[in-house]
Amino acid sequence: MDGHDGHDRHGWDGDLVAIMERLGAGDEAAVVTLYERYGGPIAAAVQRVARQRRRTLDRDDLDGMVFEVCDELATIAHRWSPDGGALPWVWARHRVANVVDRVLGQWCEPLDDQRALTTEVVPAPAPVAGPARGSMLDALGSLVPDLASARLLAEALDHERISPRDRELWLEYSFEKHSGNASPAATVAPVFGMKEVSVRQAARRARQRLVRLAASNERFAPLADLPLLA
Amino acid sequence: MTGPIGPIGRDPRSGGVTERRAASRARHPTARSWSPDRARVLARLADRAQARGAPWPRVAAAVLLLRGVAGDEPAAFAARAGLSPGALARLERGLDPPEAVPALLRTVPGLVDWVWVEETPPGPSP
Repeated sequence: MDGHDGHDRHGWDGDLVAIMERLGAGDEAAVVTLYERYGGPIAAAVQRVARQRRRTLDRDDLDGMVFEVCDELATIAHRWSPDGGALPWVWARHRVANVVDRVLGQWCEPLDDQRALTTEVVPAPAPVAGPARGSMLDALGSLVPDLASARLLAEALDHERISPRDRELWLEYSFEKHSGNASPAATVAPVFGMKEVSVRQAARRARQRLVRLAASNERFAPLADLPLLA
Repeated sequence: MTGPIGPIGRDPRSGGVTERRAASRARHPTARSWSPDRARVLARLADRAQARGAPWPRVAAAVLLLRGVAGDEPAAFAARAGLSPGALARLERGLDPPEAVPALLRTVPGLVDWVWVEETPPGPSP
């Protein structure tokens, strides 16, 4: 699997592929190898889940969870393939989340007491004067939950060298789609002077590139949780 | 094997790629805040071997840890340690006492607390 530079033909770290093959074959020592060599990124994946649960892990919890994740990956290693394009702990992110939840306890969104106890009908906000259509940034703000995610998404768009037009198009298309528009391509096509089919294709291409990036690059993995890429 | 366990992972075809990769990983931000807790790993491996009924669970844990850190397959590790594959398998299953561990493995510094391994009370009879 290794090439001369230590990477296989898919650009994978041949070391990781070999470890996963050993794990898949039931080699118990390979769990230690995975823990030793990839504990850092696995710890980052664990911490990301903990942050989503709004919890802070101490060193002891984190160490224990990293080894448990390695154990968990051992049980499914035979199903992982580098051809899928995702790092094992990104590919198995739900398993990672299960490990974290087992230690932290079942997680749920806390109830907003203020909202739950309100019985008054809140009037809808007055329409804001301005352009009839929101800008790309407006669309971005409504589809990503926080500023950090928006920054990461903007960085991912740069990383993938998605053209300014396709960015605008994909965000407008996604905004319409997530707003409940049953025919987002029909709405967006006239804005860009394109056919509907071309809009759908361009939007799909942009989304697929970002999904692949989130699955293959640890730095952009949090994007996989955005509704925008679901 | 005369030096520390790290270089065992070298891939002879790649001319030091393993070391370069390890150095790159060590520089990565995700690695700076985390380092392996080998005492915990040893304890987990020993618990597991004990649950399987191994008479010498800490021996199993120590040998598995050393091979895991080295990143070797069983045959390669056995050859380096001067063991037959069968003898290595017995050690990894915790079937043999600490005295059966080759001196070469005991001299690997900083990975295994051999006093802890030798404190192992014998478990069920093999």
